[in-house]
Amino acid sequence: MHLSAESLDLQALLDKTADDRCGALVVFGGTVRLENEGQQVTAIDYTAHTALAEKTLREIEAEALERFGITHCRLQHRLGHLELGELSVLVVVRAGHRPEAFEAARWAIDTLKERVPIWKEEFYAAGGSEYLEGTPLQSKKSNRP
Amino acid sequence: MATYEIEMYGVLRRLAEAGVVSIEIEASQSTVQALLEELALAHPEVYDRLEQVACAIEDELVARDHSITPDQRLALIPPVSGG
Repeated sequence: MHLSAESLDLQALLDKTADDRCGALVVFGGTVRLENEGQQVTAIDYTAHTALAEKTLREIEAEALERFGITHCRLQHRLGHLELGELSVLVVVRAGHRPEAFEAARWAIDTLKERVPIWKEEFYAAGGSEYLEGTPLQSKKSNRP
Repeated sequence: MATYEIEMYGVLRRLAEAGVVSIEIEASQSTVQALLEELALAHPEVYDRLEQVACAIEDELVARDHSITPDQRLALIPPVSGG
């Protein structure tokens, strides 16, 4: 599963990807931050189109393997109500060597943020909440002439 | 006339005050674009957002000229902000 309503488990991902062929392990974790664009944040609600998000996360993992020649790429994203400091996303990459591991992990998180249908609603200390603007998905082009 | 259900996500859900809205259009006009045009009339509060919305049926993104049947639910995907 790539989406979870429960706390993300880094150790479980490390165990699942353990591989003696790999000399490099890169982990990226995103956490709920105190401040955004001048506002004090208290929490974030994450929601998703789960079927499309699961599929897109799988596609990004597969594309990372092919693009960078790495051995493992796993992505997990949390859904639901997260308090400050909680992990919202994990990227785990294992590869033979560090250059491709760093490069792939950076590409994977950047691509996740551009392509996966997940939305964050930030809650503020001053009251109220806002959906962040986000990145429009590339609409599918027409197949018709 | 046929009834179609449209799933709203992200900010659209807040603006429409609903996770799913129902739209009626002529069955002969049943493209994604026709549904979006009718949605804009029935829910003008989401009109400004539709230009940047991607459309999906189940786990597939679809073009706006894609034909749709009443047993399929159209999902509207506003700009994404995960991470």
